[in-house]
Amino acid sequence: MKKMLNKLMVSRPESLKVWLLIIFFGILFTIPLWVKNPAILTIFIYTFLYAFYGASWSIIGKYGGQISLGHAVCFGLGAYISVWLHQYYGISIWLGMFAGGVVAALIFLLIGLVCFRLRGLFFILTTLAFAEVVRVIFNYPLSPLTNGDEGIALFKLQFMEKWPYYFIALAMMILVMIILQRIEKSKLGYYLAAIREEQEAAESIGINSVKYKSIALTISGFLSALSGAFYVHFLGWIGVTDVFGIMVSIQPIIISWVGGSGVFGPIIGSFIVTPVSLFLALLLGGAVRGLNHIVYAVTLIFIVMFMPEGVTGVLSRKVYHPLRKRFETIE
Amino acid sequence: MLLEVNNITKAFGGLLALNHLSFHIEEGEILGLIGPNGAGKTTAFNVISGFHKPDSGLIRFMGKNISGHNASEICREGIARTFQQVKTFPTLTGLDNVVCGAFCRTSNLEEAKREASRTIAWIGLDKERDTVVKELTLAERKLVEIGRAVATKPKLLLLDEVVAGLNPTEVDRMIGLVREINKSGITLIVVEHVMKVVMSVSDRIVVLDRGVKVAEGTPKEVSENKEVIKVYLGEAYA
Repeated sequence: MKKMLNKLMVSRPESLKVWLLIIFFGILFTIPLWVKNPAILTIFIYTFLYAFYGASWSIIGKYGGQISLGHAVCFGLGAYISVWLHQYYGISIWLGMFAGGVVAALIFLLIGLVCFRLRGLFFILTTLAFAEVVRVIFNYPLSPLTNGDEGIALFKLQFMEKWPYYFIALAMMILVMIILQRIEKSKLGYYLAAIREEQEAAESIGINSVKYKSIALTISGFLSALSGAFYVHFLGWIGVTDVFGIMVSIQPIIISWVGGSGVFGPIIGSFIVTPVSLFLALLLGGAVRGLNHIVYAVTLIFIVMFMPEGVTGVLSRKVYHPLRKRFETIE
Repeated sequence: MLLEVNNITKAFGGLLALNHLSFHIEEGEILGLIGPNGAGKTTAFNVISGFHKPDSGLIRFMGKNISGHNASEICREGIARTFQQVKTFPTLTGLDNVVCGAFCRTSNLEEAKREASRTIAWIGLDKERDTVVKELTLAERKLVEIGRAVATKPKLLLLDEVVAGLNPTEVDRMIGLVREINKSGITLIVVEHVMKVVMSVSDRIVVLDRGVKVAEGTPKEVSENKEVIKVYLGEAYA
């Protein structure tokens, strides 16, 4: 609270930011009171969830500078482990989510340690390869347990209404924003920036890049697994390709790239991308199969070519900095 | 002896960059490392600072064998370095660059910022501290890189061609800074091509040619050494 008040007194563009945040989240908190349409609430829930997932990815993908095409591993493992623990052993969903997160993070870390030996494109491809291997394992050898792509309908839904899921997802989104903010202003955040910009120089000032990339990867993996767990418990159904497929790995990347870097990037990205993609899937999914995937791909190409810094980058350049300069000359 | 380089050999494929190289440096000295292009000066730096592993031989720092340790370990053990192509973190501010260095000795952001501020003030970069480094001039970026290295509180600092590309005023400022750093208790090895700088700043000089030490001594001794003249200017002038 004190920090918020301090911020309000700092300078005008900063306090504008804080006010916008207060209004924004204030509105979000009250939506379930006046919006009862379950479809609209569902759109919000997915928007919050993918903001959370996109932000989790960005910990290694943007802050760490290591683009991973394999996050489906965490998402899917988080989903399956929490479902197994809950459906077959009666362990509470919360505990199951946590356990899923830990296991997924550890497995992802092992994969990462192998991949970190590779640079650039090869790292990216290897993460993709691992994700596919895991998907195939869950689909064929493990199909008695997973029922492959036909999936398993969860026989116990935690909540009958939408609004509990709404608030949980909203809380998760706020939590991940706090986590990103804490990372940015920490040794880990500075070190990741250093590794990202000049890895050799980073090593020369005592930064063990493998160690810090691994920390980022583990946090990212843990949080991504929580997204997977939430996803399946909300959906009420779990299928192999639905949680391990390549679209699951691409989703957070699109959200992070569209939104831009920083704490707000994935949030903005998800608010733009998720509702649009849900509508596209609804409108086009039936008509031409895979059309929404094509739209996704084209969007990603467009963003990378013309707006690689994403929305926050553009806002920062065109709105925030000129605004700041204006206020600096006035004061 | 602060650092002992003992019989180091390093080859890259067929090219023998360091050939049974040995030299040492005492605490508090400024050692100049000179030699024609390709003599192995930067390779020697890379081996000492852990970026390359020597094929044979050993390196002892403060009595401890550090050959084969990796770069980040060696920094934590007390050896810092700069690079020939300045490698500052371009989108970070001057201050944040140095903060990254300060984090070597603390995990606390406030403390790192304090240390970094102190270092920046000492180096004379106060004006540039909040500027994003890619907008700084070469001389300013070199100072940031040095500040960042100094913030890791090294006992030994390796400076690789630190005056390259600087104008005469900047060179003098740099010479002054090198002496200040030495006075504050940091031992230095300085690789340089600009003779005036090496001669004026070094207590002792080691001359390399093709991976081998060909001469060693005070600046005066080295400048009069026939071998050194031969190595730089050819047989005719020796």
